Amino acid sequence: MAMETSLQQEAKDDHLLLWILVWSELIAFGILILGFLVVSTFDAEAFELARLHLRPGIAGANTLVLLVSGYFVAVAMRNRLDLEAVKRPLVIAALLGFCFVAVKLFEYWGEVRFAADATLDTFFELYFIITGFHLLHVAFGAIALLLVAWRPARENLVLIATLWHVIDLVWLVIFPILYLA
Amino acid sequence: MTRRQHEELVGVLAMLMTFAIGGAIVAALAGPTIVPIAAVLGIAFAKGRLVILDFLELRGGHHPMRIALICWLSIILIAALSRSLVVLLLA
Repeated sequence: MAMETSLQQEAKDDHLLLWILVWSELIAFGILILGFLVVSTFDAEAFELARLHLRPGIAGANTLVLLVSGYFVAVAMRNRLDLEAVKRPLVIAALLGFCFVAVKLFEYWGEVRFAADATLDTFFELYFIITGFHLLHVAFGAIALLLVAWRPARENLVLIATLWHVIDLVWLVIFPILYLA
Repeated sequence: MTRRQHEELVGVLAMLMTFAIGGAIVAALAGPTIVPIAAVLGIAFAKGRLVILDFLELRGGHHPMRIALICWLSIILIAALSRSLVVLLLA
């Protein structure tokens, strides 16, 4: 009985730590995005000009990749009672994560030269900081998905699935703000 | 995972894909006026809400994180809409 209570308390503590981690990410991204919005308000013309150099079609396709990846992580979570059944969806989700990283790097390849342009540099500095920070999260998350797929444990699955969906959520906010609106 | 859960999840993915493609089309076809910008941000809210409710499994019950996450989403998107309004008013 005492051991059961101790295990329940441990699970609660894990959950609290998970949400603290999630909120530290959301606050960090929130500050970056709000900073971008404030700077873009005062330098609206240069930001509109800089935005013309982005390729929203590629970023839109990447959004679809991340959404499908999120779907496979959700499938893994629904299968969490059978740990053997979570492996395949997690591997697919991780591969889609790496696909997102590859597409984003390809996108950067065409954009990096604008960072040196005196008129466009403020936009592109903020753009590379926000999307680069997000990209690192995707790369790290994809590696973690593979590790959990290799040695699945329910607590780790809940942790990485929640973080992956939050990374997904952050991109859904970044995409329209940086590229479209 | 039951057959029903699988069908629900596929339905959510289909809605997310539709919103994503719809948002991109609205943004590509419309100019920098407030209505399409509001539409794109509204679509982003709809997508984010689906991820929070269905992918993060916060739809059922009274999970405080559901409200907190939707608030975060709303604050950022309202700030983006306000920024567009201010820029258009000052132009």
